[in-house]
Formats: sequence, structure tokens, C-alpha cells
Amino acid sequence: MAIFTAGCIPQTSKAREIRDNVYKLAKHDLDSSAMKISVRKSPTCINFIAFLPKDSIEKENILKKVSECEEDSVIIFELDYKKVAVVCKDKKIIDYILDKPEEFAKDRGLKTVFVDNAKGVKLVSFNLDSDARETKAGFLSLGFTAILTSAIFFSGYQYMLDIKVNKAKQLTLVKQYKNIIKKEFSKTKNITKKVDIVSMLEKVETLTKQTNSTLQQIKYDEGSFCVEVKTPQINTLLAMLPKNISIKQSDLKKDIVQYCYEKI
Amino acid sequence: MRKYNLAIVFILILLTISVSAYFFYLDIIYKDKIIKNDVKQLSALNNLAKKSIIKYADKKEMLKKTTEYNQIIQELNLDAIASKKKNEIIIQGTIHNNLSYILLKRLLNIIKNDEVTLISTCIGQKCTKDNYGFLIRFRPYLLKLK
Repeated sequence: MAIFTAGCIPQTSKAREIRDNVYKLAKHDLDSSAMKISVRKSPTCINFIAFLPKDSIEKENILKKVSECEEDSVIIFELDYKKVAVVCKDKKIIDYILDKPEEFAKDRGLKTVFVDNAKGVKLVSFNLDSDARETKAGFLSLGFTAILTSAIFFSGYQYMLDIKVNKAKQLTLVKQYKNIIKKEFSKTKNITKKVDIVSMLEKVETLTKQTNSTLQQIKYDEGSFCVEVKTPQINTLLAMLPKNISIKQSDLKKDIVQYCYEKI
Repeated sequence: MRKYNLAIVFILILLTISVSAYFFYLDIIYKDKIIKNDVKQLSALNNLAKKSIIKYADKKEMLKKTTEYNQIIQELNLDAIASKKKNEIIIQGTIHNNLSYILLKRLLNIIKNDEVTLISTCIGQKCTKDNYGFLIRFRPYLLKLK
């Protein structure tokens, strides 16, 4: 398992494709889904370098040196108190060396360049696996929330419909109840209506006595109370009749008066 | 940091939804409970109201009432008779003198205070076949207060 990796990927302007390609190659060499990387364009391809996230290196100046290399050279730098290197040819990384880079260069007669990473480009950390996992989890929880909210509001709506039905039922019942009570009350009132015929008779008697008349007939029928009298003083009787009385018949020849009480 | 902020916002949204949903349901359930109770009570009241507390006497009761009135007439010593005709009880009698007229008034008072509906009363001439008589029509009813 390598502690860092470097290489060159085909030219493309698509950022996602560059990221995916670097990730694929580096993941294989580093055997880790998390990493810190840096990329830089060269005339023929895109150079990249990748480190494990736990490594102390935060900035790199290596790819800058690669873009400057005119002849084959070994670019050496320090990683975890150990010298490592990348091999460059025509501004392109062709290999990386994890052990004794100086000896490697000497054996092959290559030029060596030492890199100071302190003033370099900041490395970018990323983990496509965890990104994918997080996205999945995000979508799942979002979906779950959407389903939950919809379920809550749907069941709430159903409940509200239920209330509407019950409310309509309540209104109908109230109306029905009022009608029944009204009907029953008027029915009971009609049946239990009391008519004080005796007091009416007494009133009629007084009037009859005062005018020396004779009672012919007294008739009560469905709310009307009518009296027929024979009187010698017909005009006096007519004058004495109270206001709520209507005269039905008055026969001067026969001395007969028929009058009715409007309401009793 | 940005990731945490998003998570906090997400949790807050969920929390808001849960709290509002809780109160939303609480309100609905409370209202529904009240209305359901009302509907139940109203149904019971309607059933109770439909049962009349008053009804006209049936044939058996009418016969009983007729006998009762004939007894009263006898006790009052009135020249009259009570008879049942269809749904009504008819009392017809003769007025011979002032005493019979006073007794008639007593009978009318008894009718007024009894559980009967007065339909018509005729006192004097042309009310019966007699020269001076009376005819009273009424209908007994029953109160069911229990």
C-alpha cells in the first residue's frame, strides 16, 4: 500500500470527470476512499498527486515543478520524515518513487530536484464514497420527511372531512330537535288548552240581568263564544257590550241580539 | 461547519413540523371529540323528544272516562247522560230550573280541571231536542310524564 500516489490522467475540461478519474486511480494505490489531492494541467495530460488524509503535508509545490521540467528528472520531497519522489518527463508525471529516490536517479543518470512544499498550493480533501453515502442519506431522510409530512396532512384532511360530516350531522340534528320540540309543544298546547266557560257564563249572566234580557243560547265552538239573547232594551244592551265583542245579528222586531266574543 | 448548519436547519424544520402537526392534531381531535359528543347527545335528545308526553285516550280509556262522567252526573243529580261517540265524549242534558243551571256550571268546572280537551259547548235552546238543554263535547287525553 502506497503512502502517496501521482500520475497523469487524460485531458478533459469536465471537472467531474477529472475528479472521478483521479479518485479511481488514487483509491486503488492508496487503498483509501478519503484523500487529499492536487491537480495541474500539462500540455499533454493532467498531472495529479494524492496523499492519505492523515499525512502531515498540507501544501504541495511538486506539480509546479513538474510543469517546469524540460528534461527527465526526479522531483524529490519529504513525506513522513522520508524522502519520496515523482519522475517527470516532458512536463508529465510518469512514475512515483516511495523509497530511495536519490539512488534511483543516480542509477539512471537523471537530474534531481528538491521541492519545498511550504509555499505551495493547498491540497483539497475529498471522499466520493462518503459524499455518495451522505447524498443517499440526505435523499432518504428528505423522502422520509416528505412522506411523513404528506401522511400527516393527508390524515389531518381526512379527520377534517370527518369533522365536517359530524358538524353537518350536528346542525341537522339541532334543526330536527328544534322542529320536534316546536311541533310537540304546539300539539301539547292545543290538547291541554283550558277554556273557562263558567267565568264567561258569569259575564254573560251579569249583562243579561242588567238589561232584563233572557238567554236564548250560549255556544262555544272552536275558539268562538257566541251568545243569543232576547232583550226588551236592545239599544241599552248594544251600548253596554264590551269592545271585544262583535254583533252577529240584531233583530229589532223580535228583540233578539246575537253577539260573539272575538277571543276567549 | 456548513454541513453542521444544514443539519441543524434540517432538524429544526423537522422539529417545527412535528410540533405544528402535534398541535394541529390536538385541535382536530379536541374539536372532533366535542362534536361527536354533541351528535350523540342530540341524537338521544331527539329520540326523547319524539316520544310525545301527551296523547289522546284510546277506546278503553274513553269507556272508563264515560263511566266516570256518568257517575259524576249521577252524584250531581243532573238530568243528563254521557256517551261515547267516535273519539269524543258527549254529555247532553236538560235544564229544568236554576238549580240544574248551577249544577251544569259545576260540571263545566269539573271538565275544565280534568284531563280533557273541550271541543264545544252549547247551552240553551236548539242545543238538544229539549226546550232548554245543554250539549258538551270533549276529548280525553293522557299525560305521560314518566
